[in-house]
Amino acid sequence: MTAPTISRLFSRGITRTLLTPHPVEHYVRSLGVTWSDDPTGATVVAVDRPVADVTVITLRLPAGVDRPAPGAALEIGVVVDGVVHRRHYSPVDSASRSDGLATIAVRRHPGGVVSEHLWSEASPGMRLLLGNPVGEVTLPEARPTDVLLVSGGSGITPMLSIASTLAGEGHCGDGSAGRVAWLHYARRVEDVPFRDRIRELSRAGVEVRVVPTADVNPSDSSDLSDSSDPSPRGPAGHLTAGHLDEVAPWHADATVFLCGPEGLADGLADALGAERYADVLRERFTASNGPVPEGDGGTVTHVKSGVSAHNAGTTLLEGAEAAGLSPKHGCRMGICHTCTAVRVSGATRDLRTGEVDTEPGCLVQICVSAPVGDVEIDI
Amino acid sequence: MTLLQLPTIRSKKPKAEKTAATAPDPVVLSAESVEIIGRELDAIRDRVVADLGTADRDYILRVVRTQRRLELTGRALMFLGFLPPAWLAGVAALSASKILDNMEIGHNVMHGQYDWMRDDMLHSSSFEWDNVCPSDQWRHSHNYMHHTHTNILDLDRDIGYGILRMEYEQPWNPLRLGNPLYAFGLMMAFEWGVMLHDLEYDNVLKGKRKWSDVKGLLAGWWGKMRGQVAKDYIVHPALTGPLFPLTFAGNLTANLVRNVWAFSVIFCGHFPSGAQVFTQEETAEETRGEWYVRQMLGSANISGSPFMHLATGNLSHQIEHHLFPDLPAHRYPEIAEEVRALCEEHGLPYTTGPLWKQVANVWSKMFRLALPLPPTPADTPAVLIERRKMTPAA
Ligand code: FES
Repeated sequence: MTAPTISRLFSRGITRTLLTPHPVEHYVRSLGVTWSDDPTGATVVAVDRPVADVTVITLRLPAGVDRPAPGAALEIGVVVDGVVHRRHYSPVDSASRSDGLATIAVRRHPGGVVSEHLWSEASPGMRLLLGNPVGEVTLPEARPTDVLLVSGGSGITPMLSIASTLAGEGHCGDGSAGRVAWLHYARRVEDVPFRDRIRELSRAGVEVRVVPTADVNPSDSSDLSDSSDPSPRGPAGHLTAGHLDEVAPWHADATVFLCGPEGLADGLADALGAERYADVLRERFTASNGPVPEGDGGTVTHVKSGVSAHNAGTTLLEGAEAAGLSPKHGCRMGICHTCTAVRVSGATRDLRTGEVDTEPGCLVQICVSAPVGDVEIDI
Repeated sequence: MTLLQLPTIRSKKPKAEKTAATAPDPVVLSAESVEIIGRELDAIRDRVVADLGTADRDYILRVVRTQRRLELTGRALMFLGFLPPAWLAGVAALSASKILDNMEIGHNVMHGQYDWMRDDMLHSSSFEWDNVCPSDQWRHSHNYMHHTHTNILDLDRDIGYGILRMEYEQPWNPLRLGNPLYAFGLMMAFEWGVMLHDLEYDNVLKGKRKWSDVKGLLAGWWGKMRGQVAKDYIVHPALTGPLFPLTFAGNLTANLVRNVWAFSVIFCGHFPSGAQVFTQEETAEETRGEWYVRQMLGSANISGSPFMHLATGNLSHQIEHHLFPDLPAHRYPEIAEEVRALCEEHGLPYTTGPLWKQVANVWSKMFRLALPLPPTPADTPAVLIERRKMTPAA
């Protein structure tokens, strides 16, 4: 790539002035230029469906857009029925990967708009929208000496990136100072994608176990005893303190990373004790919408102002006003769009259509939206 | 709370005697009809909302693509501005680009018509148009002030923009003699008028508006104006080197063409004869049905070809736009059939006419209102709305 890259040229003031008020990226997008440097989009270069229900997609990132740090996620936008749906996926790649590609794995959820769409539609050449990378937890620049990784289900991807990065840096294995152990929980071993990569990590010195949590059926045991599998024998069932001791007897002083469902987090909290659990670095699942709670109303947390209040099912605007806030608004009837605010999490009902929406990070009109269960809103 | 029907009919008192001899009897719309109309319009809205999808997205992206191509073509042709046909073609392309940008794209996107797509590029909360008025101020002055209070005297500031006498209910004084002249000035500088709209300068003069309210607007104007002026009058002309004056003149002309066009279309939306105005008491505590009926009675359409509708940003379907300001505008033509049928069924006027006729009508009204003349029969309200009153249960 020749310097300066086109995206850097984009950010120059003069170009912005020439095209004001529309950002340069919008010209690129709306003119349909498939331009590898378009910073708002990524091109799919390869698609693989290695196990039932997981789509593995390799993306070419535009020049100037860096892969997120190990453990963090890319924001991917997919258009389904005219609507852009955004999700976060952690690339599995090691930080040392330098070819501009990023691999993500998308597990298909029943009824999941994005995961179903990518499962059936993703193919090389497809364009995906790209947002800013996000991540609550990433591998620190100063690498911890001992690292324990715990993951479940889709939580495998950020851990793969962290483990690959550490292994690539020679952080573990013979003669190195550090130790890295990884427990990954899945219903069955054969549901786990990237088993080849996991085997490589094992050879590179990562103590890795893939733990089946479903009851092991005798007919499956052939798979489990297959010596090429990462965990031919070892822990099974849900996480216990015994699993930690078996795989990482030294874990008391290790830095612990966690990415997985609530049940797994509870198990880890029990095993470590509350005090130690408080230090666990947890990457939350952001990939899917939460379930819709039963019944209207809930606790509304106003993120900017830090005020929480119960709302029995009236509009978010009235609720905020009752709690002493004065959010921006106009018509109070859903037509002016001056009251729009980000619903950080939770579900809201559009009082005009009755429809409930749970997509995280979406803009909603607070004058015609009511909470369904607990909601966080950015006002 | 129970709904109690009161047989009171609100009427326009002052006008009644002056025009009683010539004006046709107004249609009286019963409270039941108002509720029925409200329910039917809600049903139309629900149906369209449920049907939004890929086709609507493709449509607006196609319009955006066309607009961007026109703009780039116009800018490129300015480099050949020394050839008169190229200069003219450049001005035409740029004018068309600005009209599309402001009307079918900007106005409609800022109404939130495409918010459902959740696409940052076309979301009301972040979109900026090729116009000196900052979009957040526009959402306040237009989406809120005008659309909520459509045609309510002293609340809807679009009635004359604080400068013009557009309705007989606005009192006459000798300054009104300049009405057509002010209108002409506003037309030529329309984007600047739109920018200043949220200032409510008359309220500032009367001391009804605090300096602190105004101060917030200034930063927005400066930020937006700077980029717009630099682009059209400095950077692009400078890029064409010795052709600076020609490019400058070309860009100025394109902005003027857009101003005249936008003014003309917008003034046809509420002021042709047939569109009614309302008082604040008449519209206090409106029901949803009453709100809908006011939107219908207060707006006027422009008839014409699909191309005309596109060029007006579908504001040629002002009636439908005021009923459903947040539905994608390219859906209005299909909705219009049903709205019109609904009006006919209930004996309501559905004001429409070709562009030239509506423009002539508006200008003649601006001339007449410069003088202290009584209203013509065509300017008396055609519909009286019987209102339901909410009364607490005993
Ligand atoms: S206040 Fe106007 S849309 Fe919410």
